Amino acid sequence: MMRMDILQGTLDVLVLRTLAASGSIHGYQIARTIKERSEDVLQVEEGALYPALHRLERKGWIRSQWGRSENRRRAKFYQLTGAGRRALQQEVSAWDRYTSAVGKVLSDVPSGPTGSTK
Amino acid sequence: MNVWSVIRSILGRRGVERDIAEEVEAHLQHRVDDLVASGLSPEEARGQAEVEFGDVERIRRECAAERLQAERSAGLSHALDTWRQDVTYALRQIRRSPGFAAVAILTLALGIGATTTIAAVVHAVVLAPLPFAHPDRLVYVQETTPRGDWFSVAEGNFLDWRDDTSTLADVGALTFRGGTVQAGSEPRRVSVAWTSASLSRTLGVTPMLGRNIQDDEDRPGAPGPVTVLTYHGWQDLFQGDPSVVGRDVILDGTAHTVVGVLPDGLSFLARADLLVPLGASPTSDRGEHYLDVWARLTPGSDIEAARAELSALSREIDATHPEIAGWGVRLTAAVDQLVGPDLQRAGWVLLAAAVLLLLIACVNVSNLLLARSTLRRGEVGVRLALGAGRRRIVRQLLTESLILSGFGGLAGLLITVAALPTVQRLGGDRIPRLDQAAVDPTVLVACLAAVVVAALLFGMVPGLDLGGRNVGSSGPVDALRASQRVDASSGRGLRSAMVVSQIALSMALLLGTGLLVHSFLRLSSADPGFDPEHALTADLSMPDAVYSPDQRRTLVAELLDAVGRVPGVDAVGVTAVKPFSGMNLANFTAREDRMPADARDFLPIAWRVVSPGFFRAMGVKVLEGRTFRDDDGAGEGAWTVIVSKSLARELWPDGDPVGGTLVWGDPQGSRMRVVGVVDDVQDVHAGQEPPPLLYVPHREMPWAAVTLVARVHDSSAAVAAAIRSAVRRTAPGLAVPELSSLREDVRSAVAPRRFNALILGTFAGTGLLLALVGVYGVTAFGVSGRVREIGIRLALGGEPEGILRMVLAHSLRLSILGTLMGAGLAWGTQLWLSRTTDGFLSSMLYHTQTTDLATWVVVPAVLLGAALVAAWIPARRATRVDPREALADQ
Repeated sequence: MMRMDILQGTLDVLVLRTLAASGSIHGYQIARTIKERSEDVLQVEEGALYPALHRLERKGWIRSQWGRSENRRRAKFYQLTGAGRRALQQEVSAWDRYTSAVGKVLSDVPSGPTGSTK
Repeated sequence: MNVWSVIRSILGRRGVERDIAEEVEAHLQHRVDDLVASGLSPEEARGQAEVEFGDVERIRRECAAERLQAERSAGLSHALDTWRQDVTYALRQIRRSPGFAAVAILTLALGIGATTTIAAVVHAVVLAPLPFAHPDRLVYVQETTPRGDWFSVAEGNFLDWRDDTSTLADVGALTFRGGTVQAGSEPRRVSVAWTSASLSRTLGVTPMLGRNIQDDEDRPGAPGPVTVLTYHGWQDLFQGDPSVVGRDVILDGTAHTVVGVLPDGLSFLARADLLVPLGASPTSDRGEHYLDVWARLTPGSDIEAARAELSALSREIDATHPEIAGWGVRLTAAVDQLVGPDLQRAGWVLLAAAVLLLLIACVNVSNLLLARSTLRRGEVGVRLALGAGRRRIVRQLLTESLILSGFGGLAGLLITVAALPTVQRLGGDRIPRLDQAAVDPTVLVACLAAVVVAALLFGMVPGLDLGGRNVGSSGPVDALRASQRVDASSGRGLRSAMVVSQIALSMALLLGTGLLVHSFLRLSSADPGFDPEHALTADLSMPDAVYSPDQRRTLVAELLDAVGRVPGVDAVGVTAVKPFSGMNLANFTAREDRMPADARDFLPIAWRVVSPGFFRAMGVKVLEGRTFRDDDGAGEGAWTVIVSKSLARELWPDGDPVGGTLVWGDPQGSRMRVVGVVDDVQDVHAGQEPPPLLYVPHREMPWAAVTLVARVHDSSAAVAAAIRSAVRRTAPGLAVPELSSLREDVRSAVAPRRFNALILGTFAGTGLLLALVGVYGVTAFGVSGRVREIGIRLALGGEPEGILRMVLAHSLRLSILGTLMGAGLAWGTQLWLSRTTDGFLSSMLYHTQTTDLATWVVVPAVLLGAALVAAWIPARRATRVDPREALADQ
């Protein structure tokens, strides 16, 4: 299993992406979802999620409220805001531009064109 | 962000930390739940969950940091938000009661405008740095006689100091003389500063065009005379021509090449039109003292060291020049010489008066606000009921005060801008640098300070009243109920206290002003020993380069003859010292029959060179003997002189001076026969004791620069023009200036004191008016709140006169209390001033004691009388209350 330290900005995008897909979920669920989606390739130090959540909340991209989880425990639920949704779109398109650029560079390797890695 | 939100965020931190801890714990619990479900024991599950989570402490800290930052930015925008709300609300309040706002703003404008105007004057005249390099190292040097009198400096002493000093980086000298410049076809009188080349170095003056006078041009008999124009002279003589350097000026018949032009506003140098080299000579007579000497201290020395060194040099000079043995030096810091203690004192007194006026204005506005605050209780009650904090209410009120004060400040600035030209005209040219007073950044800061201080002062009392316990102390419900009626009894104590303080402040201001005005009136009516009415003067200059002494004798005789024939002229004469021009001539004398062996025991005197007609033209009374005749001063032997009453009394305490003989200057000096005694004259320092005066005939000493004095039937322009054309006909080469009236010369001599008296009078008058408005307002408000009570009294058969007396008595009690307190304040201030300062008061007051009875009787009488009238108007309204209406109304 390959482990990578993930960059802060990447974590933010992952959190936004997760919330965009799931509606209102609490911190533990976010952590689980990111782990499953990245097929354990990205092994997050789970706690690192929380400063990211508070940072995103400060930026006004997500909002939170306390509630009850499915196993009847108190938990803080997070939800994407309109500003967060716009920020996510920008981040995703920036990410696409970045990966396609990297792909083009890699495709110039003599082994011949292999197409986009997207 | 203010202190409170910092404290709040520190206190709130604990809540944030609990929130974060709970969230982290919830995460761990969920993970434990999952792991237990997959078969782990709870202990193992907890362990694994924590490992997977990472460093719990660090993550909590990071979260808390994010949250804190979030709150900070929210706090700031919240503060801005609140402020915007407060301002909007305050502006709405002001719009809602435009009458109140107008009165308040106008009142504040008077106080702030007065303060700002005086701040501008004091800044320009007293505080602004001198226009020279490092003025704090610049000193003015004079010589002192063995008896301690101050004299200007002799050329030889100046040169010795300049060459031998080690405590002074440089020493410069100058003297002012009149001169005639040929400008086109018309000869023109100019003021010439004869300066040493070292002067510009000493002062640190850089010409704006060309260069300064150089050392090799500043020697006796230096070739090719040069001149440096002052800014004023450049404008006057060359209309500011930028290519003036290299051109010639014909000064007293000699061509001088212009080598430079000085910038504007160079203090005393600006009095001259042009500067020429002094060419001081070491062999000149050391008894001739006429130089103004300026010196710059070296970086390592101070004024004490320089004084010690120059005193030591004087002792060395004693050895070579016994005729000036025992003379010493006096060093004065440049700022003390050029600004002087009198102007500084006057500046502080005016500023204090302006601040008093501002205080009175503040009390007035405070009173207005307090009356309104009674009306606003309901509004404040509503806001309290809706959950506004008291702090927020007080803040709101202070914002309103600041905005009112700000408008007052703006209006005050307008007053300053409008008043400054008038103020500058009042001062004339006798107050140095007054023309430079302007609304500059420093003055704006002073205005802003006045605005803030005023807002805090007048906003404080109503703020405490409304925001404090008084409103809604038993809940907002009471406050809401209070809004239904005007309760004039609340805040009554406060309002009374303010009336008392206002009367007290006015009393203090009026007393100070009364003393100054009374002193000024005495000064103005003081007898100068001559008659300034119906007399015209004109300065004439007959320079050495053009006229020999004999030619001057002849010319003066011809001029006096020609002017004497002009219809309307009763008498005409010349004098070497124009009255109140600031010039003086001084020497020493002694009786020949009681002559001291040593020159240093001779009596210091002032002396004048005059023509025979001078005494009649000036209106100086002849007490004994005779005045000069045309043949006096023509012969050999003893001079013919006239003495003043005080000189006669000094030297002949019990005898007749006429026929006596005096000695000029020192035991070897000329002998002088006294032929007459005339009345004492004060023509140098208005308001001081006349000095002992000695008159010498102009024929004896044919002075080059003289002032023509003509006594006329009427001071009409026609007579003045006839005199001018008579002079021009007789002496075509002479520059003849416009004639001025002697009355104007005398008036300008007391201009600074008139300036003080007029400005203080304006302030005191405004202060009195404001205080009366205060008395009126408070009495009227008191009556309006007692309508019901008065109605009942009248209904029960009370006499209207009784009501009138009751209201007046209350108001009078307050006024008397205020008057007493103001008198105490004034008395305490003068006691304090006379103890802590040396001659502060006596220098401000001419022949007037601080205990001046007239002032202490008239001022309280006027104040109480006016206060009674101000209270009488609303009191009379009280007697007209209709009992039925009054009772039905409530």
